[in-house]
Amino acid sequence: MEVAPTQAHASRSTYLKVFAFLAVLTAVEVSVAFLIGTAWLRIAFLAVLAIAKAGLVVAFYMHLRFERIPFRIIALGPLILVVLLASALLLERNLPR
Amino acid sequence: MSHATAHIEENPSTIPGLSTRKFTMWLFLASEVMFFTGLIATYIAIRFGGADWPIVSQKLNVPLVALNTFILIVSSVTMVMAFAAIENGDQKGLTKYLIATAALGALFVSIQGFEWSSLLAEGTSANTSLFGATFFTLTGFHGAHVSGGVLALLLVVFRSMRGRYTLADHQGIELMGLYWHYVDVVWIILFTILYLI
Repeated sequence: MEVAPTQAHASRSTYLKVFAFLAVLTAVEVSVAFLIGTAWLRIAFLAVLAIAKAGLVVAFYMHLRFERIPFRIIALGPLILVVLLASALLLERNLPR
Repeated sequence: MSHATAHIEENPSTIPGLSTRKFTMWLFLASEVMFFTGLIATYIAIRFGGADWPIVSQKLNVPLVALNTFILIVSSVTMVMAFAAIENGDQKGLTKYLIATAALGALFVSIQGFEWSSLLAEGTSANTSLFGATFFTLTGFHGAHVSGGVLALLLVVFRSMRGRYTLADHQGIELMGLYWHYVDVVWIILFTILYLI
């Protein structure tokens, strides 16, 4: 466990490891976009990959993993609304007109 | 503020260990999340609402923009390395990495400008179709955020060269980083939605 709650950040080697993951995930994304033909499967894969990349940046580069609870709530709270809005819009498209 | 917490942050805070400046930056970023959500939601509603849509992989230069995505990710790495440098009191390293970040940001905007001019040359503009309208609105607002970030970075580079940031006082670098990484996160999402799906 880290001792100093607000000053604990990741090390350079962690930053570079995260970079390696981001680079690989980007390459996988582009491959998936061209290789997977089934639309829903491709979109599901791409959504998971994008969320993984965004999560890595937020957790390590923006240090959210090392922040106190109030920061986490502020940062992640709106994302619940984002998911609700996106889901509502997508579901609405599938309803009979 | 008690003396016990005074060493944690340079700036006074009402809650021990919680910096007011950083808190404010996160609040701003939360409002920015909602701003882009509104635009992305509009895009989803229009595109999947049955609008006439081009085949994205034929219309857009995906390999070029994949490279541009990579450039923006590398700029996030240089930004975080700038922060790591000043955490070790390395002012020269800080300036070096900040310049690299600003340069990569400018490169990103330049490549986007090239992409835009290619599309405009083919006759795809914000006026010609719903695809064009949403595409230019989303990439335009994001590009404006990157451009604003580059300008802010140049200011921070200037201050860094004058020795403004030290081992003891470098919160400005952390706040600059928060904004820059946020803009990177928005692009990660936009790249997937606009170019890959």
